[in-house]
Amino acid sequence: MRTAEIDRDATAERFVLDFIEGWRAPADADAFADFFEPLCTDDVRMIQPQLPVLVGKAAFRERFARPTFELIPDLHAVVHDSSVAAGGEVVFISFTLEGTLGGRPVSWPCVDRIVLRDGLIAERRAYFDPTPLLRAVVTRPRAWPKFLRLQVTRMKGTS
Amino acid sequence: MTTTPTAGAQDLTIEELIPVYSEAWASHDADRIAAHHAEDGIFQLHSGAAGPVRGREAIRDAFAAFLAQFPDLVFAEQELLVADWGWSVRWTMSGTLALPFAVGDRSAEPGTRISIDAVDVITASGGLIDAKHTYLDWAAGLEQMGLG
Repeated sequence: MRTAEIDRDATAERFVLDFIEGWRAPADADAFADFFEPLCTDDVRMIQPQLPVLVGKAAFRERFARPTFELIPDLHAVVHDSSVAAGGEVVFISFTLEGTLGGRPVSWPCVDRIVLRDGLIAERRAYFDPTPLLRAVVTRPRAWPKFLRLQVTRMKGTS
Repeated sequence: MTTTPTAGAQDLTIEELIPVYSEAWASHDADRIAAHHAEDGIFQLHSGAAGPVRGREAIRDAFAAFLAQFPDLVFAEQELLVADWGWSVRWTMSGTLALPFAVGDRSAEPGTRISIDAVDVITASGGLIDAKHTYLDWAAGLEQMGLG
């Protein structure tokens, strides 16, 4: 393996540790965004089921972090496994998201495919089944106003 | 029906198991596929809040039902990441619906073709698969079947 590849692999391994730390117990949306923004490229793309693609750090903070943490203020992730592609430019991380929604616990497993460019997140594509989350929202009326605001915020200025 | 591990399967390293398991899927033989799963293994399709399928025989039955639904399934590997605990693979699944597929009071008819993106996260030890978690872009699949 060439030195450049070893460096990229090491960078990817460090990124996984940062991911674990950033998702371990975020205090709130802005603390979460403050942690991850320096790890993102300016044109970072965020892709996940049934939602528009978000592009850029401002969208990450305003249309992902803030509405998500408004819905689930104690959202955090327990990371299970990670794997790094040869060359260190793609990372898969498998984890479970957990938190409290409408006064009751909610959790759902997720896999993120993260493309790194110069060690920064250029694209994050989330794979998960949205059904457990949607079912939790439907059965907890206290969460409806926040969920509605989340959907509206994310749909604004869709790319 | 009893499905037992392929002879020598327990000697396979993860790097050796990956192509053998892919070949089993390409054969569309549910017994052959299930033989690579641990007797107390887990398969979970992360779609529609489906629960985990536990045990080799139940996994075999789940795969057999899926293959009956899409008998011409083709898997095109897009990306493979190997780790010491197993592997992650992103692939495209293409196939033709052979049986009616119902969601609520709506149904897709046989002959409908789908092509969807998916990710598997597979943990393995001792030459056998302990857990296979499959994340399908099922929203795209339902849309392609006119059920979105």
